[in-house]
Formats: sequence, C-alpha cells, structure tokens
Amino acid sequence: MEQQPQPSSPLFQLNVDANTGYTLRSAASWAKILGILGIIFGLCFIGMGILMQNTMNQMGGAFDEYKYRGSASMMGNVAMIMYILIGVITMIGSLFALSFGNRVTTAIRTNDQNTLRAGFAGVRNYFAYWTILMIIGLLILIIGLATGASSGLYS
Amino acid sequence: MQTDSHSPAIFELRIDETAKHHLLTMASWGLIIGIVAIIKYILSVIEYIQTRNRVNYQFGDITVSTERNNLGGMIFTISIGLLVNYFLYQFSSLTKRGITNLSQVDLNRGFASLRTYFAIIGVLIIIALCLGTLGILMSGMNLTN
Repeated sequence: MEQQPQPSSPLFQLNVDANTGYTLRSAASWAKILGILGIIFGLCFIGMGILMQNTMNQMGGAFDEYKYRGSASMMGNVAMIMYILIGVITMIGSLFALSFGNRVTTAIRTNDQNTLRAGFAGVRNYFAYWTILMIIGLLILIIGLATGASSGLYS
Repeated sequence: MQTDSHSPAIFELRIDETAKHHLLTMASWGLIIGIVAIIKYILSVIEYIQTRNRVNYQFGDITVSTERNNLGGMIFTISIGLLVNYFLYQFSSLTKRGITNLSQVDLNRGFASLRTYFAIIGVLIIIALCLGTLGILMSGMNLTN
C-alpha cells in the first residue's frame, strides 16, 4: 500500500542545502561588514557632533548680535544633539545587521536551528526598525512640504 | 508538493515554521521599505520641480533667496536608491514565493538578493567614510596653510 508522505518529511519543507548555506553565509558576511561599518559611521557622526559643538562655542559671540539666530553655543548644542541622534540611530540599526550576521554564521557552522531562527529574527528587526524610521522621515517630509507650500516659502 | 531542489540537506538545518514566519515578516517589511522609498523619491522630485529656480528662506523679517541647482545630485541619489530597493524588492517577492510554494530555488534567489542588498549598502558606507575622511584631511590641510 502506498503511504502518503508526512508533512514533516523533507518533501514538504525547505532546507538549508549547500546552495542556500553558501548564499546565507555570504549574506551574513556582508551583514557583519555592514554592521561594523554602520557602528563606525555612527561613532563618526557622534564625534562630528561633539566637534561641531566645540567649534561653535569657540566662535564666540559672532552670532550673538543677531537676535534671530540665537547664541552660537545654543546652535552648537542643537547641532550636537542632532548629530548624536543620527549616530545612535545608525548604530542601533547596524547592531541588528551584525546580530543577523553573527548568528547565521554560527548556525551554519554548528547546525544550530535555534541560532538560525534567532538570526532571521535579527534581520527581521533590522527591516522593521528602518521601515519605521523611513515612515517617520516620510511624514516629516510631507509635513515640511505642506508647511512650506502653505506659507509661501517656495516662491 | 515536492521541492525542486535535488541537493541533499547537507547542513541539516531546516526552514521550520518559526523561521518561515520570520522570513515572511522580513519580506513584508522589506516591501514596505521599498514602497516608502519610492514615495519619498516622488516627493523629492515634486519638491525640486516646485523650487527649481529659487528658494526663499525666511528669518523673521529678513528673506534670503538662493538658487537651487542640485539636479545631478538628486538624480544620483534616486538612482542609487532605486538600485538598492530593486534588490530589496527581489528579496521580498522571491522569499515570499519560495516559502509559499516551497520552492528552494526561489528561496535561494531571495537570499542572493538579500546578500546583494547588504553588499551595496556596505560599499556605499565605505565610499562615504572614505570621502568623509578625505574631506576632513583636506580641510585640515587648508587650515594649516
């Protein structure tokens, strides 16, 4: 009597075969590179923010006489906060990519199913994180365009 | 349904239900990124067309007027963005198709697109870091001269 294949048999599931393993491994390598570079990039942004704040403080009262610009130190502080925020955002996203890279590489090397799942969860978080940030950026862009158009700024 | 891969599962790792769920979620988020990016590019083009010749910046009762001439930069940025998002879309659609149809080939192609996506972004960051370093070095040399 012919037996029906069980749903859990290899015929009914996707496996990490040689081709998949090679592709995943190279994707994980690039994700690790991206993660490390992103962390460096974020640290550079934070450094630039601190540098800009120091530079603006050293410029002294050049802008203080212009009542609409505010003090140079306040501008420097605002710039520093923005750069630090960008740097932290970049670093957090890069940590997700690095997590994917490390876990998938480990999973393929040790044949660990749990680590593979955790690796996929890492890249899922990476995409979710950047999607939310991009949506926020898009909303800010739309609000900016609408505000600019309504106030006649672009004339 | 039989998978269309003839090579054995050498690594004994499976794309189980949890991994499938993660992959489908990743693919959905990736697709949303692509859509949001295209909307942003369209809005950028509209903004450029509206402010093509002149932009007025208002500071209280003072108006500063400047000319905008960054068409090349915008085209370059949008081109790079479309290239990156093309591979992201490929990853999203192929991975979904691979999981839905239990197709190992489509899943492998999806992972290959994901690899290319990470590679392009990595290369762009390397270029940005090199240009930033060059800029800092050149500005430092200008200050000392």
